[in-house]
Amino acid sequence: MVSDKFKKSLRINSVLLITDLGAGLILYNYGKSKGKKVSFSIPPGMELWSMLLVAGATSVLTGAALTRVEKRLKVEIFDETDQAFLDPDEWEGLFTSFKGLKRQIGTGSNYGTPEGITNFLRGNPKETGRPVSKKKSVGGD
Amino acid sequence: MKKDYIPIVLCGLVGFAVGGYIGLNALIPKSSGLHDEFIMVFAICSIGLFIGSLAGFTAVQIYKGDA
Repeated sequence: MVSDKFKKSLRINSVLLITDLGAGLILYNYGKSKGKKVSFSIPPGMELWSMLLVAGATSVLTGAALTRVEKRLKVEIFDETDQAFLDPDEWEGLFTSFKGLKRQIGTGSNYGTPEGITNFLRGNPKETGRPVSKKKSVGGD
Repeated sequence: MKKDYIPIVLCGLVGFAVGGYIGLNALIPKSSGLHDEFIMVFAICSIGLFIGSLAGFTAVQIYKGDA
């Protein structure tokens, strides 16, 4: 029923509330001791309620601010259709094939060249009488 | 996820301490001690904790995104 985001926010808030109250209790006992030996005790009724109220208000404010910060920081640059979402191994394969192609071009070998490029290289525009550029312009109109 | 709490809580505690220092030295007069003005100092400390934890959370989000 409750979303993961809410659970996460609640967990962080609880941790911060406990931290705030714990640090507040240490501060209270430190102030009460006035430089003498520190003895641990809980503040009297009114002070304790005020303390809880302040800690609760701060916790609610912190929760709201954290959610806002999280929303602001969550910026999606690419959507799922973009190629930037290739898996790491896919990226690696892509780079490897590019490296291989580059090496083949350097040595003059056409082994493993993509079919489209091979066909283009094999075709002789003079023999067919249909230059590639003219073919494109006829199709476009 | 559990490791994410550590910087948040640590930064929050640093903020609490800084808030306490400011509250004790700048806002609370020296004649009245911490015991007399405890709630006032605690409120300032809590605001420090609030700011500190926010800073810690932001740092966690940014560094988690980079990793």
